[in-house]
Amino acid sequence: MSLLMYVLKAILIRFRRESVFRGSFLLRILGKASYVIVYYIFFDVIFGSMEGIGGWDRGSVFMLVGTSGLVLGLSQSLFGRGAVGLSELVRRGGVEMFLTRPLPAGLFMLFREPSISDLLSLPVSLMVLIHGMQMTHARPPGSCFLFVLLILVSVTIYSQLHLFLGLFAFKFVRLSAIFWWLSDFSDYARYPYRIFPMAFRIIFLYIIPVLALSNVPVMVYLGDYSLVAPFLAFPMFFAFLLRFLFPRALRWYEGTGTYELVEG
Amino acid sequence: MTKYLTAAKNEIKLNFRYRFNLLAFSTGLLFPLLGYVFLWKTAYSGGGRVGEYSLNGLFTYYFWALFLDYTLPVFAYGDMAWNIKSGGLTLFLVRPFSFLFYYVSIIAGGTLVWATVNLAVLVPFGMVFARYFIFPGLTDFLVGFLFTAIGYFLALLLGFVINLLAFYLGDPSGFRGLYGWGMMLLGGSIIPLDLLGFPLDRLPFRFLYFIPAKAFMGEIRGDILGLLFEDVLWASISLFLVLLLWKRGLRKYEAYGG
Repeated sequence: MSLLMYVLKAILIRFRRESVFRGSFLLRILGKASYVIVYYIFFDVIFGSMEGIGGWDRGSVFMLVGTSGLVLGLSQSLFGRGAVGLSELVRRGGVEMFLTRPLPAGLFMLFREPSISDLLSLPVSLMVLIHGMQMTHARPPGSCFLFVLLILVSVTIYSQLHLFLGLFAFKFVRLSAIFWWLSDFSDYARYPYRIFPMAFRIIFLYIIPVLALSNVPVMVYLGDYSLVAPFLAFPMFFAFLLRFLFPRALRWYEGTGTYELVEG
Repeated sequence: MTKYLTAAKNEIKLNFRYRFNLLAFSTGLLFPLLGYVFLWKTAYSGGGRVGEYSLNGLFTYYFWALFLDYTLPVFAYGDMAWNIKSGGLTLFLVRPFSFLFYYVSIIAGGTLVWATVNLAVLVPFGMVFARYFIFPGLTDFLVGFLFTAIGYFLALLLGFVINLLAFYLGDPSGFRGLYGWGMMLLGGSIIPLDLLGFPLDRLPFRFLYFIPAKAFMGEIRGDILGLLFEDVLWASISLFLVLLLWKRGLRKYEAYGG
């Protein structure tokens, strides 16, 4: 509960900070929404010449684009900056700031710097998603409720993935490159998983489940439940893993470096 | 001139200082390229076809377009805007050292490193997928190189324009996301511009990725001189805009911060 209050307070403070330069703030929101708009155009051009890609029609692919925009946008709003900044935090010796407060340290570090422009760009993803839903005409019973639930599971998995990778920064210190890779892999979430060869499917559905983040909610909405079980197992597996690894990773931390204020 | 060459050399050394990050940066180019390859392979295996493009044509197009996208400095360096915003520009103004030339030289050094590293990753990738790649003839390669060279200056100058807006907007960083995605879409690294049609395939941004990529593919015939003239014209207009923004911006500069 205290963590939730902290996140809400952090969002309010961040809103005040980001909106100091109003023009820049509005442009930033548009910039964040561009990801979804650009890939909407991209797939619209492709479907101007084709009926489907790997068994996915226009509506379901638009749903994928909207869903990936929602999951990645929501994740970026809540913990994107915090995750990428973990290795810098270790390098500068600033972790103690988070260890000495009455909140779960790992989650506190992750959710410390929300991004409001990402949060306010989400309606565009939602519009693309609804447009895709209207095109598919699929309405399995309870599908909307399950869909929302699975989106939340996707965001949870994505945050756990970031925290898991962040633990390596305690040992290797400068690791921002790993987060670039994860971000590049996450871009695959806008594609139907069937376009990938088997080896890629195994890696990106079951090991680094970035494809599952968007594909599973959309598949469930369309009435295909084949990937739900392993997907739901992920958050439990990661929760166990993180609970086990976090205290051990902290032992690597040397608290060196000098704490300094840097441009956010 | 020596001081600017030294700055460029230092930038090269700095890039090699963090070698793991450099490696990660270079492999970053492979992931989107692989995504496009798998997507288009699946799309074409269903018997579809977009525009006049064969699967080999699309593969080759993305090979060149993404190489250019990851190499040309469309953002210049964000430090430029930060120096203007924070007052750090003063340190340049009180020395016999041109702010603009300093960034021209260090970006040239950086681009040399990125181009080398990107090619080092792309060449083996192209060899693995050689059956899809359309190799350029010598003339096509030279024409492509010429368009790339002019496209480099156009990208650099557009990047300068964005950063020099800091004189007027205070914080132009909000514009970067919109500008970045805009360049990718209108430059042609997301989808070939001839598939988007008029008027999007007639804008000056097509000289960044689309025209050089098509030139490497040998698909510009007939009007090469006209295109070269237009390319140089847009680069000159951008240069004029940079000089205007710089001159007027200096008058507005208040050197606050520190």
